[in-house]
Formats: sequence, structure tokens, C-alpha cells
Amino acid sequence: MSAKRSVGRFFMENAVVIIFLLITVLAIKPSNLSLPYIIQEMLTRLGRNSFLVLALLLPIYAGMGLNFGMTLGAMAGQIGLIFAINWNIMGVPGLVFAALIGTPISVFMGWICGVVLNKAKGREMVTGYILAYFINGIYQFVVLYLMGSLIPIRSPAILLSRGYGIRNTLNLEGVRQSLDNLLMLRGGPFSLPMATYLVIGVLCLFVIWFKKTKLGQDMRAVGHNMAVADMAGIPVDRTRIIAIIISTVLACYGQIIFLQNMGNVATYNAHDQTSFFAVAAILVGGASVKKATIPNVFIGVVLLHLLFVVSPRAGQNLFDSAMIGEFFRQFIGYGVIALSLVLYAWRSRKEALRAREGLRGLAEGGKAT
Amino acid sequence: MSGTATDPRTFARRMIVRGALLAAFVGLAALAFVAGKGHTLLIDNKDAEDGSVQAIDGVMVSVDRQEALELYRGDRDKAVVKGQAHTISIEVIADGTKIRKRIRLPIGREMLLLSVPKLAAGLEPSVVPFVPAQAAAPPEEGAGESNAFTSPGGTPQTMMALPGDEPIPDAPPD
Repeated sequence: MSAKRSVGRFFMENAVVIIFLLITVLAIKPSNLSLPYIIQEMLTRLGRNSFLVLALLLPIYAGMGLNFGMTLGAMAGQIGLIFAINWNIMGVPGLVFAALIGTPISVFMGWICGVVLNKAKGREMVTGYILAYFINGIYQFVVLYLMGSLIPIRSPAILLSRGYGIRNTLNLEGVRQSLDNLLMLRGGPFSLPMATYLVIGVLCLFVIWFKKTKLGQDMRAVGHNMAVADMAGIPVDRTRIIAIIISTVLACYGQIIFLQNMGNVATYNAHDQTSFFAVAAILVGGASVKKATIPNVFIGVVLLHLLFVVSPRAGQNLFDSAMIGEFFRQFIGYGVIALSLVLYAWRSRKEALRAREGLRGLAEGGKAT
Repeated sequence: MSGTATDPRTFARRMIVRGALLAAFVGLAALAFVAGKGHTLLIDNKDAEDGSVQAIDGVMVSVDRQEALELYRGDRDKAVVKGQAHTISIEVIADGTKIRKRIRLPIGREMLLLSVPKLAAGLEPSVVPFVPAQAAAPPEEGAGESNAFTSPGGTPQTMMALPGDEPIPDAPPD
């Protein structure tokens, strides 16, 4: 009975990962893709996406849930890249320059986001999501109207022909895969972008170190119980703002790493789905709104992107239409987020019920004695 | 009350740290700008306009460690370079003469013209800024269809007038 219950509990705790793994494994065979190809795709996508997903960890530690406001950081990264292209700064220095331009913007954005989220405690995720839409409007205004008119942009390659506003798609030729190619390890059919992995590794070490610092401990205390943390003298609001600022700055760097790998940027919508895919990845990796670890990030990136790689081909081969796979991809992405949130709500309610029953049992026991 | 006031020494230390961080930030940005600034180098193998040198008939030119470019009399090719200091290796195909020269590019110029015959002969200036006659911007996506949103004053979509679209004349006064 106990073994049955523990199996059931294991399934419930890892339902998202298990369901996702099952669907993905089933899709591999009909995709007809070779194993080396799939492995290489995973290695590339790990480098491309992990940094962005790691940016979600700190707000989860601080009890602010999944930071959909990371889109703000992504926009800051894109603004940095626009300036790097405008001044024709190439290679890794171009990426560093973009990051340096993006840092103050993302700190400011993160501060705004943190202040707003502090006004909406308990509803951080939906607030962050809507805030991203609001800031997106400001971003569009800045990039479409102010750049080239008020903000000096002189490169005709990125300006619209009317003389102001940035083109829909920018070619990142100068910085394309400059970080990936900085230290590319080649072995057989595989290429490993070691410099990108190194940057991701440094971020992992930073997260581990940060958790042990006073601020990191404060964040976890705030995430565990805000009222208790407040009574213990921890500045709750300030700690939450710092968590969001760090997450936004990391999202800025993550977007730069992502775009240098892609080689081009869709100026007006590259950031739209950044938070959505990062959140989907961390949830697929087994994280929840309240709990996430570094392994969740890597498991999630591999599983989500494995499905992204195999599903269009599986759809093509099974239904003679690659679009089926694309629909499937979208459906799975949103479905995973919804399933994870529903399971989290259901589990929280069940735990609360169990705790209440426990207290009632304790009270009855107390009466009896 | 005094617990909230900052000690002057702490305040000064905090300001110094912030100032140092700002200086490091600006310094790093300047370093990235200088080290990563890209230039398009047009490599020209033509007679000098003042007639001082003649074009070389058959020469291999490589910039830094890039692939060598094969240029004959009157040829022009281009190389995209990063940073200001570069090594140009010239090899005359006919007699195998090898020349290595270092050049420095001005940071403010995007496109420069390098005269191979002048550089090989040691004449200055071998690198001059290049101003294209007319820099034509690449066409925009969907240009000419309906870019009225992204380009106010741009080409609006042409609409055919349909029967009944004519404005209704004002009703005559009673």
C-alpha cells in the first residue's frame, strides 16, 4: 500500500516530465531523424537557450513565481545589439558592448518590474505577463519612432528608408555565432560551443554561490514566507526587487547569447515568446512555481527542444504535413504551462487540506487526552 | 533616528565604489568599441591617380590571417576587418616577392581604400577613406505593398473603386 502510494506520489510530482518524455520518445521514431543529428541539435540548443532559462531561477527562489517579465530584459538586450550593429562593432567585443548597453536599461526595467510586482503580491506571474505587453508598446515606440530621429542611428543598413525607425529584421552578421565559434570543440560529427558552455557554467556557479550569500538566504526566506521574513527584519520588498533586477539583467544577456547564435533579430517580435519558451522549458524540466533547481533547467531545455526538433518531422511523416508538427509544438508548449500550473494549484490545495486535517486530528487528540 | 542616517565615511566609501564601478563600465565599453570596431577594407590594385605607381599584374594579398585574395591589374576586392591594427601580406605572383606591412585604420571611418601598389612601394598615404558615390539602402520587406504603418507617408495599398463607392451627394435643402 505504501509502495503504491509512493509510486503514485512520484508520478504526481513528476507528471509533466513523464508525460513530456513519453510524447517525445514516441515522436522520435516517426521523425526518421538520425541520432547524431538529434544530439547535435540538442548540443546547439543547450548553448542557445540555457542562459535564458537560468534567468528564471532567482525570482522562483524569492517566491515570485515564473518571471514572465523577463521579456523586458530581452528587449534591453535587443536594444544593445541594435547599437552594436549601428556602430559596426563585431565579434565578441560586439556582444560585450551590447551587454554593456543593455545592462543599465535592463536594471531600470527590472526595477520598474520589481516595484510593480510588489504592488501585486500573489499575482506576480499574470502581472509580469501583462507588464511585458505594456513595456513592449514603449519598446515599439522607441525603436520605431525615436531611433533615427531622437536617438542617433546612422547605419542605413538598419534604418527604414524614411530615415527613422529600425527595420523589421536585422542581420547580425558581425556578431553571428562569435561566442560559439570562440572555442568550438569538434569531434566526429559533433561541434561543442565550449565558450558558450563556459559562460553558462559560470552562471550556474554564480547561482550556487548566490544562494549561500546573505542576500540569497534572504531571498529564500522571503520566498518561504514573506510575513515571517518581514518579522525577522529582512527588507522583503527590496529583496524581491533585487531578485527581479538580477533576473532581468540575466535575461538581457541570455537574449544576446540566443540572438548571436541565431544570426538575425526580428526587431519587433523576437522578444515576444522569450519568456514563454523559457518558462515552458523550466516547467518541462520538473520545476514548479515554487521550486526550481539548476538540473531542472538543463533537463527542460533538452526535453522541450527535443520535441521541437522531432515533432515537425514526425508530423510530416505521419500526416504528410509539417504544419501538424508545428501546431503540435505550440499546443505542447502552452499545454505544458497550463498542466504544470493546474497540477501546482491542485497539489497546493491538497497539501493545505492535509495540513488542516492534521491540525484537526491534533486538536481532537488533544481533546481526548 | 541616528540609525537611519549614513555615516559620512560609509557614504564616502560607497561613492568611491560606485564611481569605480562606473569608470570600469565606461572603460570596458570604450575597450569593446575600440577592439570590436569593424571596417570594410577595399583592396585596390590600380594605377595611382597621380601616376606615382603602377598596378601590379598578379598579386596575392591577405589581411591578417584571412584567405589570400588574388588580384590582377585593375582589380578590386574587399575584406572585413575588426580593430585598428592589421598586417597586410603581399606576394607578387610573377617573381614570388613577399612584403609584409602593418597598417592602422582610423576608428571613425567605416570604409577605407587600400592601394596595394602604394603599400608595396612604401608610398603614403596607402590607406584613404572611401566615400561611396551613392549608398543605396536595401529594399524593405514588403515595400510597395502596404508600408503605411511602419512608414507614414509610405506607399498605401491601392484600392479599386467599386460601383457605389462614389460619395453620396448632399441632400438638397428642403
